[in-house]
Amino acid sequence: MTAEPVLSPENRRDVTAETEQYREPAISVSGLRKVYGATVALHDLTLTVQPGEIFGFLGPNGAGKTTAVKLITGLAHPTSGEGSVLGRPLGSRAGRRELGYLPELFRFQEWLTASELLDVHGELAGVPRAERQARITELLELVGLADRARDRVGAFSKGMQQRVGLAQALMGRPRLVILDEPTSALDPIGRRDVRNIIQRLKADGVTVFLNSHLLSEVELVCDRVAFVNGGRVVREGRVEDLLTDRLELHVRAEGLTPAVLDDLRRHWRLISQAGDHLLLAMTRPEEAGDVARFLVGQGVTLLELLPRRSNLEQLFVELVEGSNDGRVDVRPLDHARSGT
Amino acid sequence: MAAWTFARLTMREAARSRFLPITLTLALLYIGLIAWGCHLILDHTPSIAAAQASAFGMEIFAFYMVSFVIALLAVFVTGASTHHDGESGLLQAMLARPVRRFDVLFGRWLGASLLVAFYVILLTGGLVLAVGLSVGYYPSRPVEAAALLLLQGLAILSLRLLFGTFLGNMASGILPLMLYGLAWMGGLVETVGQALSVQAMVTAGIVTSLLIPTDELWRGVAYFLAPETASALLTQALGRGNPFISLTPIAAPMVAWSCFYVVATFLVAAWSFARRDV
Repeated sequence: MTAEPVLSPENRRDVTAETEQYREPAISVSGLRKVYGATVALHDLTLTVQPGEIFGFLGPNGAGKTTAVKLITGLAHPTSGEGSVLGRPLGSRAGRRELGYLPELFRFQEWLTASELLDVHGELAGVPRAERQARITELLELVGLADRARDRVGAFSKGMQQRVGLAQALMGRPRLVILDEPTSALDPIGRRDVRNIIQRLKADGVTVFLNSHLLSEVELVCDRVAFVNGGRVVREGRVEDLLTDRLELHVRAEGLTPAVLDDLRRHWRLISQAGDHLLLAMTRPEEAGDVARFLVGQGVTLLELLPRRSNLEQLFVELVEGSNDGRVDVRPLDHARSGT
Repeated sequence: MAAWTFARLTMREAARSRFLPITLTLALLYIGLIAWGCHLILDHTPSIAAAQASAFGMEIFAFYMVSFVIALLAVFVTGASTHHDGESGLLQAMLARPVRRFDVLFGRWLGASLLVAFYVILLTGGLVLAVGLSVGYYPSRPVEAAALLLLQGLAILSLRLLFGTFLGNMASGILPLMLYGLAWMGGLVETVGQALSVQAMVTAGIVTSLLIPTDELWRGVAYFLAPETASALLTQALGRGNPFISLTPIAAPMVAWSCFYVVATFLVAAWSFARRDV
């Protein structure tokens, strides 16, 4: 893949003008519910994705993520609830006009060449014939398949098919791109390339709705995330906020008497203790200094002080396991904080 | 516009998957075989009139086989069922485009219909010319016969699309062919009922032809393939109680019903497809 921008300068959007024009959320759904026979795939999905942001949609297998994506893209019909995509009613043609979608289960007409496949999608997306070839060349270059334009998709590896799938998602110059596990078939270099493309899309003012299991990547690119489990959103918020709330301090020290530990607990939450090792919960990184001063003041010898931030993966495991046994507060972060 | 994109995709798939060249070769072989048979008939019969009568008999059977081949082609040229394509992920990226599901299905129907029409013209024209140039026998109204063959193909094609909205490839392909067989049996029952004057059998045949009008359309084809006057007596002799021959033209209401059947079946398919989750 190349380091070129996602959109050539002449094709790039005037983000300022469009921000004025499109102030409505890229995605807004409320009380979305989907029932298949006796199975409730999605209970009550309410979320808003703002224009221009990269939104991560996370959850374990069977959580309802793909169902939610299908409802948003109009592939499935909700049992109840409502919503809009780019300001248009959910499932409407108008809402899909500026939507690009790479399905989790990507499969394309294997008898078409990569170039022909993109041409078909360009035609369906309403890209004028005169502009299509230049756009195809640009996108195949972007996903690293410029030299395979005339090869049939059926001859491609799974990873190459996913790359061409990403190119088709971008064919119609979308304002909203929904990527369902876009790196599932890619090697680490391919994943990095996709990450770069997503970041360039954001720079172009495109909203990206990212459904992925690769939490380390989500953490790197997403502005906000929502965790979904059992068909419900169990936590939603900005990545920074979710992780700042979860600062930890690892301490190794000599002379940790029970009295010192009792004093310590009055000021900080002690997550765990094993011999000379302590794990404390913090709310600000600066608290590490306070802890150090406190312990030294108590006559303790500090051997190691290591502040660290919890990552999305830890939060994910905690939320999923917690929501399964009812221990986790399922309100969105802002509400949970304010206690409302 | 989107419908035409899907129509082109359907036709292009048939061409790329070697389906078109293989079936074309077989169709030409079939026509060649009939032409060769007609030459042999001419060589081994005492008069041209006798040769023409024999050639007519062979042509009728050849067209009956064409009728079945068209039904088979109608099932296969539509490609995989929409249900299968939805489940496998093939349609997902396309249906997320600003296209109506009606256009997707209509495009498939249109592309497949054009392919069926191509085969109908090829096989009808080829057989009529093969027999005509060999023994000098030409059917009375070959264009009308071809039109009814096409209508028969469209009925099967529409049924395939309808079943394909909720069934997989195999089931949605087999069902229209079973209905085609049912129609043939119904026509046979009706013919025997007419010969024996058993009203219940005739009624059963009529009900079957309303359920699936392919056999009634075939009889219309057979009537238009028959000679106008010269061998009418021979036709009558062959035709009594014969499921391959018709002594009367297809009724105009039955043609109208068949047209309505095709349109209605397609519309129900479009409605079913629009309601389904992909």
